Amino acid sequence: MSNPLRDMEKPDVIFAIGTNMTECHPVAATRLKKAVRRGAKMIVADPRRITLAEMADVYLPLRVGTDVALLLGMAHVIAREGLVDESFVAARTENIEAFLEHVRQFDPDWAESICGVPAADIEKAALLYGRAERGAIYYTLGITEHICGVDNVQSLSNLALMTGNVGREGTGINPMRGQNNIQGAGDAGGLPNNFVGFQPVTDPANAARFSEAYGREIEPIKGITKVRALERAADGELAAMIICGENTVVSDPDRHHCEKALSKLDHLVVIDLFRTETAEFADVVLPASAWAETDGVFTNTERRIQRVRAAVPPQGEAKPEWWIIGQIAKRMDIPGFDWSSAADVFNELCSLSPIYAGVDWDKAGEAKYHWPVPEKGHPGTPRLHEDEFPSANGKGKFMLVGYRDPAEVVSEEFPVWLTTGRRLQHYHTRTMTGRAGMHYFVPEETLEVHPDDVSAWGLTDGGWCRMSGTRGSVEIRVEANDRSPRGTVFCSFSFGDTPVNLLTGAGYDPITDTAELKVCPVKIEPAAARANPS
Amino acid sequence: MTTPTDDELIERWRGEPAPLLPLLHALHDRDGYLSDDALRHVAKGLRIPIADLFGTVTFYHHFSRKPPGKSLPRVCDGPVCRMRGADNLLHALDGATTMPCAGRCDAPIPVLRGDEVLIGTRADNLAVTPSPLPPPHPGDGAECVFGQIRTPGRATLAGYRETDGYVALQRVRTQMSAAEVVALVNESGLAGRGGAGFPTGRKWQAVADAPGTPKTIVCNADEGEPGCFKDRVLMDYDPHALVEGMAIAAYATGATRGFIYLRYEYPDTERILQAAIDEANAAGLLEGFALYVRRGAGAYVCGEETSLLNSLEGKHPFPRNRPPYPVTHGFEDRPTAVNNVETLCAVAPIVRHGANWYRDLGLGEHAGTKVISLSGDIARPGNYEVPIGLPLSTLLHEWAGGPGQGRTVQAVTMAGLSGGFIAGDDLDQVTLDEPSLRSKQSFLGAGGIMVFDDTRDMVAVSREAMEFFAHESCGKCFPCRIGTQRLTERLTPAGGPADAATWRAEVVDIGDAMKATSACGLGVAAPLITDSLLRYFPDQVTRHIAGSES
Amino acid sequence: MNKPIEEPAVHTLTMDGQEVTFHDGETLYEISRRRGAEVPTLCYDDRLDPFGGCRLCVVQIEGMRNPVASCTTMATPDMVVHTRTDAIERHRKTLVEMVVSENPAANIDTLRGSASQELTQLRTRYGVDGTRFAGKTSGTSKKDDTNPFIFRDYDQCISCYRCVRVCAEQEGDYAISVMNRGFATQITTEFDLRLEDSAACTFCGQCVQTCPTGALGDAKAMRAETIDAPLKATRSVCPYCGVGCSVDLMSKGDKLVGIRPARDGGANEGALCVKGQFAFDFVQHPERLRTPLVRDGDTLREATWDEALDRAAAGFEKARREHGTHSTYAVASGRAPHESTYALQKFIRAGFGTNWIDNCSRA
Repeated sequence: MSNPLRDMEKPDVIFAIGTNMTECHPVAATRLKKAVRRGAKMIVADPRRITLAEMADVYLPLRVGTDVALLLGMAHVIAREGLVDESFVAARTENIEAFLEHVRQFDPDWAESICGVPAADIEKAALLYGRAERGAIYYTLGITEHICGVDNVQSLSNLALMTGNVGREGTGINPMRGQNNIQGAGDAGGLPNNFVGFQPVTDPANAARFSEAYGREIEPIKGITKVRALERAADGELAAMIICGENTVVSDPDRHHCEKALSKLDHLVVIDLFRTETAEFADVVLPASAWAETDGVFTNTERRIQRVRAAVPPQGEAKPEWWIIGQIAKRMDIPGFDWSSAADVFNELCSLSPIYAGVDWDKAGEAKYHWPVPEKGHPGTPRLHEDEFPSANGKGKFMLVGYRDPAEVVSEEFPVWLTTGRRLQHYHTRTMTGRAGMHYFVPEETLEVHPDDVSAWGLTDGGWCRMSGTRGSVEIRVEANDRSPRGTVFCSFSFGDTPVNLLTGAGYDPITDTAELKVCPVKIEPAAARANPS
Repeated sequence: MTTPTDDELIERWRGEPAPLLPLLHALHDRDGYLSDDALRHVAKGLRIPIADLFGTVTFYHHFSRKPPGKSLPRVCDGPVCRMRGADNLLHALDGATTMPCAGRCDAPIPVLRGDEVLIGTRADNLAVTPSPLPPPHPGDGAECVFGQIRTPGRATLAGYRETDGYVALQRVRTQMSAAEVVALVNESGLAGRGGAGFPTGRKWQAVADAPGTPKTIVCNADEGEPGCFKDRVLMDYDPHALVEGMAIAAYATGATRGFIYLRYEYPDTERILQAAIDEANAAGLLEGFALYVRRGAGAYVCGEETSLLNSLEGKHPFPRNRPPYPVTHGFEDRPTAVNNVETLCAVAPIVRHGANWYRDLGLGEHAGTKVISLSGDIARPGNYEVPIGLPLSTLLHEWAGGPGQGRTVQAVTMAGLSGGFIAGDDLDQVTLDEPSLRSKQSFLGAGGIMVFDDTRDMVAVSREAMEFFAHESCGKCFPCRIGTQRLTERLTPAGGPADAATWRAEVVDIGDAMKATSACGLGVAAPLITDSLLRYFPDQVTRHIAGSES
Repeated sequence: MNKPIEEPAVHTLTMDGQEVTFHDGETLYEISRRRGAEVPTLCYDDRLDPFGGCRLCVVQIEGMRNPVASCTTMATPDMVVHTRTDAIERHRKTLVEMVVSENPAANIDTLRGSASQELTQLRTRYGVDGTRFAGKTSGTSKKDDTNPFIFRDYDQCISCYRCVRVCAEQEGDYAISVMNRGFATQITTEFDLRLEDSAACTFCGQCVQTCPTGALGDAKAMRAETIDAPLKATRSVCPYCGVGCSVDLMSKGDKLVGIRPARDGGANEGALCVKGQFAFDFVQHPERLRTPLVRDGDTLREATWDEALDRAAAGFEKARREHGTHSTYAVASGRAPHESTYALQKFIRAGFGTNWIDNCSRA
């Protein structure tokens, strides 16, 4: 997030798009609810009538995968109405002329023809956001899990730049990170393109520095993404994999492909808390100590660096992951794994990361530093982009983005849009929530179908259906509700016995390789009873 | 005419000011009760959380949650009606339940069935009966608010105009500035006649000075105090006087909208008020001032002005914390003057006759008049407009004919029930003004006086009074919520500690904590009952504790 | 650019004989707390709008007839305030006696919730034994609400409405409300339903953690009432979404018994959701992996660490030897702490000289 969580109580106009925040980030959502209670206006764009939509002043029920069209239409109105923040644009951005020229062709009627939101509502939303004193954008995977995820984000960035809603309290472009330490995984260098602290691997100076620090020449070439790695594995071109705490088989798109990839490896090591579906493909499974058993650091969505602490001893012989990996490394004579505590590991990380240079294990314990913390004594940076943007010349650049259809669109054979997401009481593949009593609330997965579609398709509320796409089919219980519009259905990917990711995975964003999990054409037929999936 | 659907009714009210109560009444009138479905639709339609709406509905005594609901008879069990046999009537009527004092103490016993007020003492003599007019004025001086009330036809616009109606409004609008109206009211010494006694002119000044629009005049017509029935007679027989008073108040304060918050138990009055407002609107008398009647649903605490405002706004009717006061943060957080019916009805005569005229209506140092609702063991119960400062004994014995044959007055209540009892020698010493009554740890309040002759069990009377307060305690603050309950228990036969000293210490400590710490007037006033009981009737208390009811 | 925040005007008043400075908008209660005056209260939660229900925090202001609730009274310059006169302490004791009298006697285990001991502590402070003002009790426990998360023991309720207010003002769910009035007041939900049947309740547990009597209890934590070991709190961060709520891990001996939101947590300021509050059993779940496993043909069997680590290392050595540095790929976890990912990326970079690592953020 560009702004701290506490800023979420400060906007006068909130624009939430592709974020089912009350279910996926419930505590952050409480801050939006407070802002609304104090009079803030809220625009919510989501294909489904989610809880936030019920609280919205303007609700934009767009067709799945058409965010770019909606946002172009909004930009058009903001430009047309003279709501561009001229002084901000002049001082802080570049490429405005081309951008304004670009959006002139995309009026709300055009946007309506693509995204299905009435032009009048697009106008209303654009005026509301365009006139905001403090407008803040919040988004989640509903924006990024598309083949056009980067385009979506850039479209949001354009809106914020043209209205000057960046770098101030109660503004910003704020992605809500999905997992507890997904931010930290990037911070700590778990990326093919960056060393710790987002230092590009392709920068020769960085490569040299890390080669020196790690005692081995590191190629200054971006690694491949996980998606490509799995493809290589499936093609027999990858020998070994080590997977830490991810149930790849269930959480990733196109499950059949994923299973094939893992089974072709010569060597798979899985480190996890449980014997997951993925662990079943492993040659070696190593038991990790869990949260509440492990000392360490998490960084949250607002870049706040915080310590987690062990309160109870690990179960059985479980060990911290850094210890396990270190032991493997030592056995391979890889140098530099002589840590004796999590503090040693974290302090080494800090010494190599400019954005963590001012923190260490003890300071992380204070839980008050938002990175970047460039040097000792620095108070941290709760709000980004106050003075400049992280580009070569410090300016924010307007990007000319066009609308593209999703990788697969509905057809005669697959006439229904499936979109996926989370449910409040469950988390990912339920390795945790499935063992913590949450089945009390949601004992099984259901497919949310509009009541009119339930009858039109010959289904029954509470009965079963077969949902099929080009890659496979699943059987799932039907739940009639009007949260989803007609022609769009929803379910989560949390239940292993309803492996909805058998169906997804038509395409990937060309820049980030993020899978298009949010859009998948399917067909729905009544089914008598559940057959065993896959 | 077809029955309107939930959605149609929601549509009818959604855009109106203060829509919740009238919408709930519309549904309650249609079905006789408020169904879960109806409430869910209202919650969605007005964007009120359903749990809050449900909780708020249960707060009100008169909203039924199951059929047949509204059509079942409600029998008044106020203090006077109990003396007249309310219990027997209750048992004689099928499906009947009680309601707190319904403001007919001058001609008991009222029974509310649907939107009819029936009067009688037995199941076979119940009949729709209009409110009694005030008895002919027995005093020497002039009356203010009752000056023309006995003139036939006064309730119609034509009749009202024949007796100088709307002259004051006309004069104010054409000849006086808003500031001059405020100054005039200040000079007259008019003060809140609902009981708080705050100077009316100062209140209006504060609203006029407060930033923020729209400003609002709210007439507090939630006359819920047991033994009080003065506002009813004013509204039933002189509704235009109230409308004119509110219009003048609006002119003086800059208010552009007004509400009359009327207690549920006065359905006839609602029709009379609405007719008067319609007439006044049709005659173009209320231009620039939108006036609405909103009917309560049975909650004594809504007579407290901030509870009333919460109720109007559709919120849970707990009293608000003050400051800020309604004059700056009232209805919908905007400047608001909340005035009692009697106060507002005095305004037009004051404008017509002048400040000095009104001021001089009081005796001695006291300014103006007060309507006293007199009831109970007295020969001629009814509403009397007395000069402030009139000796209580004059009212009781000379004006109202004293107690029954061969009986003596044992005690009277003050301020309905809220002022506790006056008894013994004090009956002959007090005058009807705040300084005199304050010196006896009582107050005049809204002006209800109930008379108890020497046959009455004052502990039992006290218990009934405390039951009323416990029933009406809103539940927001601890001392009142728990204190009214504990005092009721201690006034119940064999209730509380058997040891007399312990009993007294508990009652005194509870009362002291209530008086010192309660959040609103209800909890402060309720222990005046036990205080005055202990002070005037120690022997009856001793017999009660000993278990031998007197 | 951030403008410097304008310092609010500073005034003075006298509290308990001492001159105190304060800012515009401060209440007398806030000032008294800042001074450590220990003014008692039961309805106060500093995250919520002042309510003024319990009246325990009344103070005497010179020149005013009656005491005022300090939580709802704004300080004004030159006030002279007494927080602890004999009369006020006597009223406070009476109020505590009254509120204790409305509930049946019970031992409230501290496992019920963060604030569950507040009434108990006031009983002790005022020496209230519960015998005075005996009478009818208030509140009816919802015994039919058998959900395993939130215990609704309204027999212990004192109608402070902290649960109602926290649900509305902090959580924004408006699931809890007040039914009836006076002594018949009952905390309720829509149509007095069970929590799980009310659409608005998300089981975030905020009502539990603010309840000052244990009328609302953390039913999962209460399972550990019988464990005979001291209750320990360890500050940590919730393992679920990216918000990063601060929590206290509650443990008894080796057993993780419950979670509490940290009031001073920067991300959450005392809030949690149903997962953070209640979904912790996975940590000590019987299905946890307790030993390393190695593959024998079609099956995974238990192994020692040495054997498993040797196997793991040998497999990577072989891949590197036979297929070069681009033979091996690592997938890091978005759930594990930094140290896990850091170690893993170093393993790849230092062991293979590639950048063949990714994390699970793309799925």
